[in-house]
Amino acid sequence: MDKQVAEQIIRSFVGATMNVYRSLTNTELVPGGIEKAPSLLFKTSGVVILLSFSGAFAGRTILATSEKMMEFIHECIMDEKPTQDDLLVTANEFGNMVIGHAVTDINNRFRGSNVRPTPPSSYIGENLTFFNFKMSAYNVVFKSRHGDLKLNVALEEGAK
Amino acid sequence: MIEALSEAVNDILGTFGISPKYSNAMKLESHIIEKSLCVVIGVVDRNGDKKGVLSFEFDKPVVLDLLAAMVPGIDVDVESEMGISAISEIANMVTGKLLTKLGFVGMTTPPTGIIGQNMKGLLNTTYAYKITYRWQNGSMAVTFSLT
Repeated sequence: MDKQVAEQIIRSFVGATMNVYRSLTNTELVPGGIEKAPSLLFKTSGVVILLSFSGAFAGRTILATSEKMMEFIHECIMDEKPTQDDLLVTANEFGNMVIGHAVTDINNRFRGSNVRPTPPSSYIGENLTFFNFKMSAYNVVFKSRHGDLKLNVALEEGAK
Repeated sequence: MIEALSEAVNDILGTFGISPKYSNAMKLESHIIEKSLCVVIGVVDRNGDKKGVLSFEFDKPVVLDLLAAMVPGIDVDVESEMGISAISEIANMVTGKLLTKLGFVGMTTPPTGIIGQNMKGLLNTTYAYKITYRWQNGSMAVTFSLT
């Protein structure tokens, strides 16, 4: 995929993540720079949201953070202490909002690309490893008062 | 839908000479996964009106048997890139077969392989159809949800 196209798609996810986080928590995420991921394996522990999309551009985006940060997001929405199942539902909802915003932005940037999201999924666990093949991946790390949020965007090589 | 899913899995496993000892199907209130080794693929129609998720959950001994059938004579670590790539390919093939059987005109997302410890996943908040295939040394579960 063309590097500039990839960068615009990543920027759509960065903007969407910041907007959704701000609207839910009234606090800010501060993004770092875009870095090419050294490997197609993404390793983490805690809460992970997997956002997949297809169309002229296909790929998947991972949002990864700690249970503590997801608890903070949940408490901003529900005003109650969450169970682990609640965290998965909150993560799904957060992911749904992010991919909705991001895909709208991508389709506005690239008219006719017909990019469509699939349902977001969320995971909790330790030593989680996500594998993708024949893709190029990029990382952005957001800092916040409540911890870090990692964004990893993997794009299929070659537009469809 | 569950019949099409069952046929798709049996067709693809059959091409590798694999048949499960027995299977059972169920309807879940939401699409969840509980095994710590799985592959996830998203599907969406051209208009974005219908979208869904397929998950393939495996016990490690079952993956070893699948790998032995796919690449006979070669020792492949279940959790290696080659191991996950091979089961991702099976997931891709089953998904393609299922969509054809359902007459679903749409797109699929690239498969994502996931391994972890004490892992739990919520893949969709709508009803899901799950078929569990059992062998002597473990099981494989294929779940499909569509909204």
